[in-house]
Amino acid sequence: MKTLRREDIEDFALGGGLFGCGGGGDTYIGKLMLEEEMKRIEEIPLLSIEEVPHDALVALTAVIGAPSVFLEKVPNGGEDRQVIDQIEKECGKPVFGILIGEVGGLNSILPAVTAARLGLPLIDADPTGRCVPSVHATSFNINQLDISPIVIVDEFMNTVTIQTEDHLKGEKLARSMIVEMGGSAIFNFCPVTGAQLRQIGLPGAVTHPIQVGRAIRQARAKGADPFKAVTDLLTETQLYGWAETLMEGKIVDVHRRSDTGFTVGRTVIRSLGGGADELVLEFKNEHLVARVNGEIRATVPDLITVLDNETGEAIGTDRLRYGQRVTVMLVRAPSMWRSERGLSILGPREYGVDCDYVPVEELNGPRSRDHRG
Amino acid sequence: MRIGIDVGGTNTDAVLMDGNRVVAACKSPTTSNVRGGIIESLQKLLKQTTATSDAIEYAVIGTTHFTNAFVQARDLNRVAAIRLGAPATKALPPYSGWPAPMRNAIESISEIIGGGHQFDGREITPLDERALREIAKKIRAQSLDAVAICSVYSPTNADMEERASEILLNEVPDLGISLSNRIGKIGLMEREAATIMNAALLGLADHVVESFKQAFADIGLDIPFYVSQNDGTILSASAVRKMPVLTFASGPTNSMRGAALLSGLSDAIVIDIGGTTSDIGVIHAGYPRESNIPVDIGGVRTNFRMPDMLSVGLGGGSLVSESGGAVSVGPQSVGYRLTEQALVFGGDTLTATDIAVASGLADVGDAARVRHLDKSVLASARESIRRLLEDGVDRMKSSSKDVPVVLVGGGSILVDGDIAGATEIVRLEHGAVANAVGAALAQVSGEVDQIYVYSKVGRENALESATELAKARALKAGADARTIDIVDVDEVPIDYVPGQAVRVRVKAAGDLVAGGVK
Repeated sequence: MKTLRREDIEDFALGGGLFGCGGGGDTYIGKLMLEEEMKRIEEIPLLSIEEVPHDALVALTAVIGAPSVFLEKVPNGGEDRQVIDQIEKECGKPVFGILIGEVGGLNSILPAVTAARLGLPLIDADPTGRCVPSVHATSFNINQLDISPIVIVDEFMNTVTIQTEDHLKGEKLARSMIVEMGGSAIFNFCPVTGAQLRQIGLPGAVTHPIQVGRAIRQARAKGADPFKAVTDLLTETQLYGWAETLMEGKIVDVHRRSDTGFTVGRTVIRSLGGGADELVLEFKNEHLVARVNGEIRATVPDLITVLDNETGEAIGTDRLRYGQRVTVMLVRAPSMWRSERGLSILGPREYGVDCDYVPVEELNGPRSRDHRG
Repeated sequence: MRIGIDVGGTNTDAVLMDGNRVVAACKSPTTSNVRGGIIESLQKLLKQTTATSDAIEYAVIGTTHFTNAFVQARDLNRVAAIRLGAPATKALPPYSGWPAPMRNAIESISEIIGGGHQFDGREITPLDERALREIAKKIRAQSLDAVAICSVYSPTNADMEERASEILLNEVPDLGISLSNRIGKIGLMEREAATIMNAALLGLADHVVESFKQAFADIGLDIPFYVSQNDGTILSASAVRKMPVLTFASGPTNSMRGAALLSGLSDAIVIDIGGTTSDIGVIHAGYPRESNIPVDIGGVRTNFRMPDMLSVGLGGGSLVSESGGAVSVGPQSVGYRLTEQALVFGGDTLTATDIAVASGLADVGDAARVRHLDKSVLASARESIRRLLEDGVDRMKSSSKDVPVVLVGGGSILVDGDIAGATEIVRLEHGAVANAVGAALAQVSGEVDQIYVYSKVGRENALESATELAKARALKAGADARTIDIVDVDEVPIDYVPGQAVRVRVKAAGDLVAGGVK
């Protein structure tokens, strides 16, 4: 059986950043919590989707609210157990394993903490395949599963259960609850059976980040190109199947402002090594669109990520700054996001980008066009 | 006139300043005896000047004592760590993530009790005063000297920490107490760690401050002295006794501030070129730009204000190598062996200093020993040095606009002509004692780090109230009201929560008022 081992934590967090697409929150507190839990145990059992029995119940745990609040008001540590207890009550059967909330960022680490704490296996899958800005942007919604019950627990073990059929309504109700709960809480939504998991689960939410993290670390140690190692690796995966470096460059401008609770802005990157190419990224917590010399080269739902040239670490949209040397990587989104329904949830127009979605591999051709400075 | 003293790991530098002008400067080796070292450098300094001691207003000391003591886990108090925030935050007890040796040297009682605030100012729970009294009993029973108190969101509301301190002092009158709101920003685990570090250093702080006082008394210099902290401002002797941790990493800040002040520029890039590396920092409105990357001290993550510095592998001792027509400089260096190994000093290693001498940029060592060097090698080595610095300057600039560049440190001789991105290049006469100058000219500041909900209070009101509060705090700290300026305003929206909650940080600073810090 596969496991998530104590020594995998660094790679897990490092590689996860790539799937954050600029969002996903600071992983520091999550990593500390996981390290504390893993002082007691060596490893957490890691199951593939196929290893989950058809009638077994699986649930995710995630943090909802402001990442910056989470850094000050650390959780009680009992919230996730309460979430799972409540799910079991609502569904009338025990939870068999813990699903990753979203690959990359804080919400890929917290489910591992829960699994370690409750002695449950962790399931190597998630409902997003990348970081997303809201609760309704999942494969649960694309496949029109019932989002209910949504269970939110704060540090007092105050427990709110929301019943609704509409995923977007669920997002809004949950979000408004968070202010009263002090800006940050632990939650679950849309518990599923093993059979449903086979339909909606995106595989590799634990193994992909570990592989990416390891590839970056090993390539750097050998003096090889870490970004080529990563694009090669992701191109070989079934889920993503295409990844390419869009540009290596320097950040020459960052504009950031707050808009109804989101960090909105744009970043301008100029290619290194004399090229005149200019890359503009627009973001709303996560990156939405990448344009080179005014020409669109990628939009949501495809993955757009900014990585530090030296360390290979992903740089969140809140930490982008003039002068940083970065590599911008594009990764094909999992197919479900490219369906009509997927695009109606995470497509460019949903985020105010005025264009139709064109798949990233069509915009950039097969893996041949090389725009690295 | 003022005295600035920088007690470093190797050297103790001292300067006497008249306004922004260096009147006298000296270097002496740092001694293990705190008092003796200060006395020696003060005597050496005063010998160089005819100024009488009544013309000297005060002295500011920059010191690495406390950082070194913590990193080496010596002379530390055992600390009772009390966090106010339960039931929140119990997932990570105090000392989570600390290396075992540090933890073993300091940890005793460690508790999380009721209290703390939410991000919008509501209480998490009322302060659990009964639990505090129980802890006071244990503190007495274990004869502990120091306590660290950290309440959730105390940077925006300090009431509970202050109340908790009152209660404990009532029960244990001589207790040394560190409150997190005086020490750090939002970010619970890092602020708490810094507060614990501070409590652990309280005993040593008494000793060090006493030694400083003795040193001034021994040479009959009856002036107040201050200690510089890591944001380029000063602490009074009594404040250092309470908050020694704020002196951590004041060295790089002093050096940057000193360079800015000597050059008369308030916005500039400072490059300190040493033997092995060039440290590049940014001065904005007279203060170093702060790093937003967490700082590890002795393996403990903190959120101290540290200057944002980029270290480039280029110095006077950098190795110069040639292969296939390409010349490269650094990052390997002969370091402190420069004066034995460089060609101009009779050695057999080609270093960046040799390139400078052969190119006629500097006159050190024996120029005859590098006369044979090929002109094209010299040119490409100089080009390579220039590119390293230009790249570093460009990385550190805040925008694409050109800025003045100030050069300090012995390696400044490497720089020939222009640097792209620089409006001008300023070389400083007293660059070698920039640290001590920065200490002498440190200011006093007041800071606010608070969350405002713009949809409720409005952005303008929020910024105005934060600005006023920062100024009031600077005034209270001893700044001259006429010189108080806002040196930094930073707004960071809090993601994923509706209602436009924004974290606002404002810093005000001013010159020390005559009569000194309260």
